[in-house]
Amino acid sequence: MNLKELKELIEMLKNTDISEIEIERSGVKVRLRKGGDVTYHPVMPRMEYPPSAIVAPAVSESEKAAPSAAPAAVPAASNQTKVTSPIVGTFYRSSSPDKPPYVEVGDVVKKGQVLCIIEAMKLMNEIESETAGKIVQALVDNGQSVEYGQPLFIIEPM
Amino acid sequence: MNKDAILDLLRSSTANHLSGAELARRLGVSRTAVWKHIKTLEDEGYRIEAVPSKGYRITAEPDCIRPGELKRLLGSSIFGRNIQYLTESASTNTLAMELASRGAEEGSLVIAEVQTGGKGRMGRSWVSPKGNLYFSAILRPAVSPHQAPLMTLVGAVAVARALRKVPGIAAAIKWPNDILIEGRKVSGLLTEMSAEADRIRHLVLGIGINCNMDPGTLPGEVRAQATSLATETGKNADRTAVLAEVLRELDRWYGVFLSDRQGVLDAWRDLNVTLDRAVTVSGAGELLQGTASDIDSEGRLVITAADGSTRTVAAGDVTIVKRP
Repeated sequence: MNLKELKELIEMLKNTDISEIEIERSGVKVRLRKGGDVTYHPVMPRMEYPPSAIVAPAVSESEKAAPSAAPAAVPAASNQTKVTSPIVGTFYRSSSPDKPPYVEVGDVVKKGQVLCIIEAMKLMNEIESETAGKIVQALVDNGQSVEYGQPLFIIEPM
Repeated sequence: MNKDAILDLLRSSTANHLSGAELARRLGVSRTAVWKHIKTLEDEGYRIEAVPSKGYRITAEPDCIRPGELKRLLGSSIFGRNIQYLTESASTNTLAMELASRGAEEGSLVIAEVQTGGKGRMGRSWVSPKGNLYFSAILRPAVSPHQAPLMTLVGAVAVARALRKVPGIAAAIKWPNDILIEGRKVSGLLTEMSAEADRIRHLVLGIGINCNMDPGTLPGEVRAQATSLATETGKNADRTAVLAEVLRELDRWYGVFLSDRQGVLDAWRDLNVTLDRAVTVSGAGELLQGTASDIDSEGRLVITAADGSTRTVAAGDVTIVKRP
């Protein structure tokens, strides 16, 4: 399912009496409920991370009136890949404070390209992209603590 | 190797000369062969006194790392198998990471006499003049990546224990893995890892130990906080022996890490100077103050604030508040 289809769904839902709809396709399940939340459930096994880290977009009344706001809040559609943290630590977007970030949203990355560093106790873990693609979202700010399994980037494979 | 055997014999008899005939007889080689090995040793920086009718005696050893001797001292340790010894390297960690990604076996070592771009945390540099130890070990532990950070404590335990064997050196660990003598840094570790979500591809443990450098070669801001083995003991350390001891300890504690993580935590606690002290921790976007009350099962530092609340820190710069 892509973002366009999702937009159309939201639009459709607005103009009907249906209050809730759940669709599962290609390993991604989307549930839309009027006046409530849009939730996203990967069908694959979930990794543990604290609730605050889960990208669980809430669609308010005003946002629902403007469906264009919804796509930004929807993570990893079926064709997108989430890059998650393999360790608990501190997230850095560059190799040192005076260096530019390894990647920015919109950048096209190669397989194996370094995306960021997670540090735990002076162990620097360079996180590489496992796919070639475009960075669609950067989910964590520089210097933030991240949990094991927490999503860091969303990449659209190319 | 005969050259090493001659070295061993000469070292065992620094007070008395050993004749060429005696050396030849004990090694079962000709006197000409002995003479050639003596010349090679002199080229390597040994000063060997040759007195007619008495024989040879070592008067000074070169201050360089001796990879051949290191290999022999390490015996069957995984760290003795594959040693890359360089007179100069930009960064032993960077080179070791490259070698590891090209398939270098576990235990492979990169050792350099000088680093031109030694690395610290987050783009900081590790000033690496002549006379010290700079080395990186390639490891491939079969544990999950989230268990890897404890390896940095393993490195600290190994270095602290090895340095304590040098007479007069009371080395201790500041969280997570700085090695201090009386509050001054004698050694630093930087670990780099390449991992997939559930598997470590390789891990490189980089260790710098200040041994015999001239402290005057350090930049002013570092000089006040640093020390070296020679500064502490008043005489030059045998770097090959120190390195061999660190690697023997590392071999041992790496084994403990793989089988008994609690054992690593206990050893770290025994050697540390951070716990029960008032500390400030900077990094991760904030400044924390409190008492360093413990390390958790992953080696992270637990800070207890004045109001009794606790925070667990995985990364940051720890400053121990001086006692009044």
